[in-house]
Amino acid sequence: MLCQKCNKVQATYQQLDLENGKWVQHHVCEQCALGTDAAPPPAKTIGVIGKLLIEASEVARPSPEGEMTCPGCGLDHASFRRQRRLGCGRCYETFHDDLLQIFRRVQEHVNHRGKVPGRPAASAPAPLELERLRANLQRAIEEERFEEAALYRDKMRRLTEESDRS
Amino acid sequence: MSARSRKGGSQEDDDAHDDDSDIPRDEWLRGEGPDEDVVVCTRVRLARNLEGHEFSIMQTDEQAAALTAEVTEALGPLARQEEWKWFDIRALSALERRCLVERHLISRELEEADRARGVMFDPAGRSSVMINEEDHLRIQVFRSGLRMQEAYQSADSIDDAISNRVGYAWSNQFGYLTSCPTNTGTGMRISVLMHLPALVTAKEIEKATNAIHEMNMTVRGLFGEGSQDVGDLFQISNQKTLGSSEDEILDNLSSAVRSLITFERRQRQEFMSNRVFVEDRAWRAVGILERARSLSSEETMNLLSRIRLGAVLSLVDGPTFDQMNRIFLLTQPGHLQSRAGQQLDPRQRDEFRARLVRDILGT
Repeated sequence: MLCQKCNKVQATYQQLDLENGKWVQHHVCEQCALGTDAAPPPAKTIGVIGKLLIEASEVARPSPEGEMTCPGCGLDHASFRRQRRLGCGRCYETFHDDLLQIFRRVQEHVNHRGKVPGRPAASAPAPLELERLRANLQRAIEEERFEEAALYRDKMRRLTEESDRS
Repeated sequence: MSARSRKGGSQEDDDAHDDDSDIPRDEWLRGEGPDEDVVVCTRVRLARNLEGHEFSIMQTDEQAAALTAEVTEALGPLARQEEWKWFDIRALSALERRCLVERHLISRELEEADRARGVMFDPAGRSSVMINEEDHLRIQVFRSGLRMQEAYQSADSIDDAISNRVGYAWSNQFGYLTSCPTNTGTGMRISVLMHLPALVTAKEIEKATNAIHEMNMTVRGLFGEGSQDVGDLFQISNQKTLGSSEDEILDNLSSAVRSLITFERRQRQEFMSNRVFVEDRAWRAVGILERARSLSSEETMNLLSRIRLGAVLSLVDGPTFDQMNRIFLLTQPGHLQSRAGQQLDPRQRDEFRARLVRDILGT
């Protein structure tokens, strides 16, 4: 099938576009899917509906240069693409789709795993954290890294005190 | 690295030249710690931003000043509790800023930026917090030798203490939001500074660093890009910050560093079959440092590298590790000119450097 956007090249991507408030599926070529300077994502064709749904929020929906401007800081799309720097936390929503492409290329992942800040109350569940610290403490003692073990112990103590208080 | 007796000189000599009590003995240059024969130090850096504030590229001068003031005030109690020093970078001279870069307490970005910014650090150089760098906060922790978990735990505690005082820019999907997408997620960069003279001399370094690249790690010189060949020092750090937990990043970097340590030690053992080669290079280096009348910074670093290799293989009983570490820091351009009390052109710097090295060595 030819690309439904340029009608010139074989379509290799399925892409969801928002048209009049509804998601519409298009078969498009790489160029139209990703814009000119983007690297291809790892998966070339998307066959199953599950993958399609995941990709729905992630595949690029290119907009004309400069059209998007971050409401948080005023950084425009062209400046973002040129500098590859964000202007504020809200830029992550404004340039979400571009960022997904960048993350796929430079980070290989698009979702954070790891520490969650203690504030607001979205901190990592204390039991899991305690379990992790206990394992680290055990390993440090076994390997006779006592200075490190003391740090784990203190941290566990602090966590326990905090959860006692709350 | 244990203290060693110095060839020649006496206790009086040491005392006579021990006018360096004001010289910082920073943690990263302490020369002690696990795997100290190959690993100089471990550094953990966490990038954090405050919610509801523009990042550096979109800040106005007023916003930069307000942010720096807000963070400084919020961190005041913590700084007092930890006995950290606080510096307004704009109030420092260019030379003072350079010295902080040479001590690794601030980055080149913080040195050169044109906006309001600051730094807090503990006097022993174990931790520093840069304020309004590329990100609002850059927490750094240093430990001599290979101590990744310990360094991370310390950075993590500082991070927790700060997050009790300010709200971080955060997203459930992307984690810690940073100015550059290459830091998003954990915001963590962990670097291990390694001394790899045997791999360099045997021309095996490229092979070794390629293997490290394949493990998705970055290899850079002492002062980042472009300083690769100075003093056989290499910083190995994680490339990716998103999609792996801090512990996974630490584990991956640890494997990369462990393999490099093994390669380097194996190569050193091979050299021991022709020990005169290493011994001769080290003693020649001692000779030059003790007698030269003009030394460039790069030459000094390279000579120190040869002596250090000879010393860890117990082939050379020349300068002590403490003397080498002092030469290492004090002969860099910022410290050198600060000591001279004036700006020096490159030729004057090389002469002054050679004189300072002879002073430290007592020759």
